[in-house]
Amino acid sequence: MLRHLQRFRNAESATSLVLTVALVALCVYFTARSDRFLTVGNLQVIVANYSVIAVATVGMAILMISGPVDLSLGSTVGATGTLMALMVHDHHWPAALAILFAVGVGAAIGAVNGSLVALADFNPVIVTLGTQLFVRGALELIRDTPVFELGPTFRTIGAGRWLGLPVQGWIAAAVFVAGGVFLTLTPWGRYVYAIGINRQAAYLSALPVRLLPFLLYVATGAGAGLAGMLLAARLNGASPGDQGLGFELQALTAVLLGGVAWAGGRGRLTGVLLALVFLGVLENGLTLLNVSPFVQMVVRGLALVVAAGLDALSTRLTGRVRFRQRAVAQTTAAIEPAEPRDTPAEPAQV
Amino acid sequence: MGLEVRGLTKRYGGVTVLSGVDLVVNDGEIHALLGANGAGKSTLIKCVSGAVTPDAGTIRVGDRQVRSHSPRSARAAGVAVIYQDFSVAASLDVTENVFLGQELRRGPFVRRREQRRLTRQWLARLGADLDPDAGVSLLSGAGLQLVEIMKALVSEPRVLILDEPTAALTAEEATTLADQCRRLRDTGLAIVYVTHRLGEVFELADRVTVLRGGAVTLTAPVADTTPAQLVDTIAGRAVSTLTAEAAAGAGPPVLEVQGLVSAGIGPIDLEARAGEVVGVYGLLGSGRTELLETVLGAQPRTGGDVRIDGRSVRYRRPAEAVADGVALVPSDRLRKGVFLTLPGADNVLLPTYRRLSHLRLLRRRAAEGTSFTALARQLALHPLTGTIPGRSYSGGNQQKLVVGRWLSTRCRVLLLDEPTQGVDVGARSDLYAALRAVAAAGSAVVVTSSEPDELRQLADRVVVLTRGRVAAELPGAEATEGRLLELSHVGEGDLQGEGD
Repeated sequence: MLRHLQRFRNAESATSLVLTVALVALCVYFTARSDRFLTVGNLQVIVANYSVIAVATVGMAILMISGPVDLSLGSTVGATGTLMALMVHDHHWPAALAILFAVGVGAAIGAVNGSLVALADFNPVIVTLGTQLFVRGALELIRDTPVFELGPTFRTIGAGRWLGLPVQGWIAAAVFVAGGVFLTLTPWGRYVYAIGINRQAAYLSALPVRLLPFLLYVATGAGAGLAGMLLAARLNGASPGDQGLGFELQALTAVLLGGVAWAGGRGRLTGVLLALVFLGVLENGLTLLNVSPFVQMVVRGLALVVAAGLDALSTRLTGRVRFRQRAVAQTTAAIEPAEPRDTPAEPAQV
Repeated sequence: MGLEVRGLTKRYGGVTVLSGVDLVVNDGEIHALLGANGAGKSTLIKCVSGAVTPDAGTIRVGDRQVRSHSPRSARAAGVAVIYQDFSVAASLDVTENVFLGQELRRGPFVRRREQRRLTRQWLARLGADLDPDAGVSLLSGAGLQLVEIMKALVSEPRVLILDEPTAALTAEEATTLADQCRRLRDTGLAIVYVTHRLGEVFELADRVTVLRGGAVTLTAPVADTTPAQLVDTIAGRAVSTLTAEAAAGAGPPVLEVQGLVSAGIGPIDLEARAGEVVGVYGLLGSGRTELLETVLGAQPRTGGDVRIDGRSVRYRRPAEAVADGVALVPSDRLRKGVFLTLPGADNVLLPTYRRLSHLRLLRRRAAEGTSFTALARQLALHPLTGTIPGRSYSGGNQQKLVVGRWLSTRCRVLLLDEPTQGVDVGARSDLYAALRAVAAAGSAVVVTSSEPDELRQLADRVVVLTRGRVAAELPGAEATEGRLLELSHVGEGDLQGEGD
């Protein structure tokens, strides 16, 4: 299999192909096993179910391309949703203000993460695990019982349709487009990759090696705030103890499955979108087949492990693809390009 | 016969990298292997060391033909390779490093005393003054090189391949290494010596082979060749060794460094005028990297003054320096220079993207393309494309990408740290031309180098840096190897005298 994968120009397209094949296989299987799977209604359910995660994932994906990770995502989603629900229900805030509040709280949590990781150079995994605990605990100190009933505006955001698709789906699409525009059409998008690939060189090239990851943390937090709002709207309320629990792992799974390197510097949003569709279909299909929630948990865990495997595979492929690309460069240039000083003893070709 | 390679051919996907290469190295011979980056030296070494399987041809070591191609079988046949980057375990001592992974054992127990005896014996044979019990973390580059050599000797090789062994050594250490190579040769070992430095060829080697485009273009006794002939054979064209004309119209000082002090260096005075290329001659450890990084703000300054265009500045980060038009091309290309997986165009244009963009917000691909093409032409980038990733260019062309990064920002002061390390002769003259052009456009250029030849060709003035201090200053045309070595050693003696 490795050998066939080597034909691809880069690791991203190779992982995308694996994912596409798996997605098609899943769809065929679920269609055969359940006559409800391939219906317009069910597709809308899939979109509605996964929009929240999609919104939270975009920021995380871009952040991870630049290097660090945010594992406090789930708590941020829970906290923003619950606090917003409180404001709406107990203090009768208008919907627009409440939404801004949710996004703002998310951005503030992101700013804390960003200050510690990007500005003070703390370890991203440890810091964001810490904020994950801290935020969840602080939230339950503020409110430890569920809040329900958010009013008509949030009912529209949570369950409404526009042009046949859930409103939440449109919002997720908009966030994806915004992320894509940022990555491909702005200079800062190139900086994200450069900083993820070689921070030292980026530093000496005068790129914003601290400011940019900081802002990406803020954006990831704001995205989680938006996702928290969407989730609260969909559930028409929030329960502080378990709202958004485990979201960071689902987002991480999607990001890694989508071809973003854990080490940073590689990945595309199209791959992440494909991974989200795959995970959405998988979860939906299992639900239709009436599989127990514990099996679903096992599957989620497996998906994360597979994602780690895919990350390792891509890194390996990059090494091999490098070999091929050198050969290509030779045809065009009749030179033998860079000799890899870092890997003197390249393993014999198998 | 030590090593006999006949008709070696290697193709990668239809591209011939080696075509019918013959290489014969006799026992007790040092054979220099030369060639530009991309000539096939690395592939040849990898074939011999078993890392790459050739498509055709035979490799004989001693009287045995190497049949299966793997690093293990090559080692068993008696081939040992020493790569340029050292792979020592810093927490272990010399003896333990030498025998790492190939310990002498009796049952499960390591025979430490025997290992130490053998190490001491080899050290004596190599004429080296090193304690077998010393920790390697304190060793100099030469010491580490020595450990690598002894590591290779454990398997009692018949052929020893050294890949650019002096790249990280000071001139003095290189002399010691040369002496050790001669001693090894005299024990009957066949030595293949890969290098970019012609001086070493004439000092050390018995015969020389030049590769170009994957084929052997010259094999001859060193005594029958001249440096000029070798340069032309390597480059495949007559390389004009231009000598820097003294910049007649050097303008006002752009960079003024006064009494600069930082960790391990100083106080240093240095001045660079508009339109001038200033060379800093210094060996590894002379403080040349620290000097440039301190000016740039990548390393904290503890004292002194830096002026740009007469204005006193103190940069806290490189970004502030770059905003002022001061940029650095670092010496460690792979770690600090190139973005290996980003396309060539990104590598060049990263600091320029915002200036080229619409309202500093939206990229303009057309402007980017025009800008990149112009720079690539100016630098004679090869291949002339910006779409392949940085790692696919040769070392010299990667360096052009890094230099090009600052040509596109119109900088006032361009600092370059060993810009041609590991760069072949052809790409070197392209780089020299580009740097002269930068100076001619009114910028000040400061280049550090440990190669006198380079400074003579490139610099208007040469400052000799030794142990973090300026030992002397002389016009570029007078920067001969002898004079520079003499000056840097005089300087060293003086400083030692002061310290006593």
